[in-house]
Amino acid sequence: MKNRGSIMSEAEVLAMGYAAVGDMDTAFAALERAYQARSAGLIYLHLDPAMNPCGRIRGMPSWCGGLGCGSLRLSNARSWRDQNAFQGDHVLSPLPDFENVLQQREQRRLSTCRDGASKLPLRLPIVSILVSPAA
Amino acid sequence: MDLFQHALLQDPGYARAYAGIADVWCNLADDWVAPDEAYPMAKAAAQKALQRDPELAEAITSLGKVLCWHEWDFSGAERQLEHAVALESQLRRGTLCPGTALPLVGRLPDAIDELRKAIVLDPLSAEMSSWVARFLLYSKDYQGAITQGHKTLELDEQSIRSTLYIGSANLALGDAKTALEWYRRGQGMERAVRSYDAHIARALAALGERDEAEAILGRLDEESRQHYVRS
Repeated sequence: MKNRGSIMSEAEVLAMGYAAVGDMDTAFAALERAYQARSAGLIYLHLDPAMNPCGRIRGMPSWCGGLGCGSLRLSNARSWRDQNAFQGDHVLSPLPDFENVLQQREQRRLSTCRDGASKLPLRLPIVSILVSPAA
Repeated sequence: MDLFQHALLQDPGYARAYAGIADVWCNLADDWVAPDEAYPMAKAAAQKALQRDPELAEAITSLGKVLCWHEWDFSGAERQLEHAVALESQLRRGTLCPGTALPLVGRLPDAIDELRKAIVLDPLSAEMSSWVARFLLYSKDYQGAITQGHKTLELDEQSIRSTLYIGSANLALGDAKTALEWYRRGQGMERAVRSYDAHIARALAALGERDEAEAILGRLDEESRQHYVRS
């Protein structure tokens, strides 16, 4: 491969790749690095179809957005993922009622976030990591 | 950057030179210089410009970009960018990009409208055209994103982001093979951004080429640890 100009690696872009191969642990780790570096690409993450490559599995981790709620909180996202065994090859397993469960969780989370909104320092839109295995 | 700094040597009070430096740092950030290095430099230069000319739209625009892209104060960014537009004539609207902040305050359709207006005023702006392609992709208008991506490439055949958006639109439409071709085309360009190889991995994963995808990601992950995060 030829030597190309930029040496920068935007970690949120790596996360998109890891999500595509179903490696969620590494994807979340990359997102954490992007967050720590305040990578600008994160701010459009909730809109990017790369975070929903096939639309087959929709994860709604507890990232609480700035439109009334607060900050990007990857630790909460990890916690949500762990609670739901949403990692590794489990991503590939079909979950028939997955979306309903997620919607209910998200509603509960949002009502919790509203109560604590003023304590959160950063402002971001509600971010939805939408994860899917390869088609 | 050198030219703006040379201008300051001639006239240390020249606000537009500081604004130019701020703009350069904004353009370097993320893809070429780590954000925690570039954006504070951009902000400092913009503030120096505004100390000398509080109503200099270019400096207000750079400040708005820093607020939007680095400090994540989207409402503040929207105010700054709209303020910059208000200070300038409509003819310069296209250079001020207020539309880029609008999706972050829940106004994605407005952002597309705003950027399309900018293109009408500055039809040769590949940057504005690329933003439209990006936001069409985000609004799930994948055919629109592909069309706009091609228009952008007519304006700038080295527009890497256009190849990215065309590729991503094709991937979203389920055509991973075409997506892969576009991603590879972009990454073959001189100004390619290494981390965008991850999009090649996405297309490969969709095509079932998982081993190759993971090899690319492993290499990028290692580079990312070496070159990006400074915290």
